[in-house]
Amino acid sequence: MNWKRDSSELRAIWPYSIKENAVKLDVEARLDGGTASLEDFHRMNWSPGTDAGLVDAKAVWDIYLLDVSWTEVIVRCSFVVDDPAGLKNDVLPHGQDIPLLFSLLLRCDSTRWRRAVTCPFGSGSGSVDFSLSRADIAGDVELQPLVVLAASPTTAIAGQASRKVAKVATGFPVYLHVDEPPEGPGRGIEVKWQRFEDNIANALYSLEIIDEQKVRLLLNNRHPALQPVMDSRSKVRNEKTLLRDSLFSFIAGDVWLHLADAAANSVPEEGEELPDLYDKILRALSRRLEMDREDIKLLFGSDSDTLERAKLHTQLQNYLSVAEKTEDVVLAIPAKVAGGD
Amino acid sequence: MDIPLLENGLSIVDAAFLSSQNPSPPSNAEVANEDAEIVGVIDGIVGEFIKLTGKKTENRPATDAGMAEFLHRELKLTLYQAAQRKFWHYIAIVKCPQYVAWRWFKADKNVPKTRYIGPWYLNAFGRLWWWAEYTRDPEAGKDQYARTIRAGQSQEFMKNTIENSLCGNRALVRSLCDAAFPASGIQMKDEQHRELVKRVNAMLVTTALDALQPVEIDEVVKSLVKEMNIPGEPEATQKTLGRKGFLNRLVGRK
Repeated sequence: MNWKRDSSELRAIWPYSIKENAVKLDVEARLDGGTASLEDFHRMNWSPGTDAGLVDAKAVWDIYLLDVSWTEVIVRCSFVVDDPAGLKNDVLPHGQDIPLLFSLLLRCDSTRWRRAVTCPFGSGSGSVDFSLSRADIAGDVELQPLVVLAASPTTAIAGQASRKVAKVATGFPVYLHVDEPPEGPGRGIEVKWQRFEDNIANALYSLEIIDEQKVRLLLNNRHPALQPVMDSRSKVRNEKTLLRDSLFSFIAGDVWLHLADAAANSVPEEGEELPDLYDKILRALSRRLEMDREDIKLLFGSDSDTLERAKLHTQLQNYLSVAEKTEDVVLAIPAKVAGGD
Repeated sequence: MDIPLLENGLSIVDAAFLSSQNPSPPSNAEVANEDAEIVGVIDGIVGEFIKLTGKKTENRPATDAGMAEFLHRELKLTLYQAAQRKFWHYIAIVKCPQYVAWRWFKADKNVPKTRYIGPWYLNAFGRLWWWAEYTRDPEAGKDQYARTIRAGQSQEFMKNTIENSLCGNRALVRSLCDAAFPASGIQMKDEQHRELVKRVNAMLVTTALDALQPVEIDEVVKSLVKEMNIPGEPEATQKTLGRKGFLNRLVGRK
């Protein structure tokens, strides 16, 4: 199946009956340094939805933010399907009682490392234990829960899975970020299109920090030609995606400054710690710019130097490769249009 | 083990660098971990690559398979280390740009930037190491690089394999190599193994092949080859399945 180069939405279309987002996954993990356990993690891949369905919890473990030297991640994953009888009825060829397996597909695109761990489906729950070696992985690791056929059907039926290990149910993936993710368009931040007020009708974006927990980037939908460009998730390198990356690099620099300002000027109540969001912002900025977080905080204090803050902005532009991404846009323009004279 | 990383590759690889047929290692390289132990190993490896640059340029791709084996044998890296693109930038730009230019220069074009500065699967050295990594069979003893050499004769097959996430399943890669480039028998043409990889990719969307044992994966690949009805291969029991027929087979439609 080939997707159009300018597709703005990627949706899986299954050739047979499958239950999507039906596999709940409970992930317990421990980061191990060889001689000692370093950090624990526990998340589920789902949240209850308003219509009794499941909602993607976007479960992520930012291991890279912990800034520790580790050798192994030891993981236990527990699977649950709420209605196992209903699942079997929906996805198995009628009259054929084919055994099922839970399968967790582990994938690391940066090293191409991949494997699957499986356990019997039983009565709709199961668990697997495994470990991930630091030596094998880089970037992100995706943990995708599935239910698959444990055997091929005796008779293939149109519209039903027809071979051993065919996927018949999926769940929301969980991600382990073992290295800092590259700065991608809108990465790590909620992006929402909204009609801006008349007095700011020509502004492109605005930033919201909600309850010191969540960041939202609002984009102005009064200029409809922008949305297909900025919403594009395509990885194909063309004029639209180059423009998208360039626009987001400009926005990202400004966003980081605003977030750093908010984090630096946040004063926790006595006895309380800095909110998690602000702690993450300062840690990430400190890593990216190789600056001490206290120095970052000083830049936004009441006695701070405007010129030093401007230098920080320049460093951010460099980190985000703003010039290179802008040049890519220029180079993509046909020469007779871009040449000028 | 630390590995050297070139931090400013982007600023070095400019138009002049790319247009040179004999680029010199730059004097303005900013290298992290430049005293790493592995640098001595790299210096030894680079010597063999530079020897190639004195040879004729007619059949440069034919050197890839052998150099992939050599590079992988000599350069012991973890997958994590080998995924660091700045490491390959260091070798391609600081240590041996002459080989990159010799291998990738064309009369009417500059050396593609990605061969110096690209991700590991495009970098002139990275692509060779990773090709050997995923085609090597450690249990085959002295023949562990046999598939690296046989299947490495096809640039297209190398590219379609390592640029694809399927290559992380080593059993699958071994089966594909054996199907497309058997030790004895007819080797597939480019359009045939291209079609085979496409069919495997299509199957990976709906099938958790990683959950199968290696012998089962081998059977799946052989069944896909049978369906393609390639001359010289055992004939399919049905008429030749084109792409549409193959997809219909996937969904159980006649």
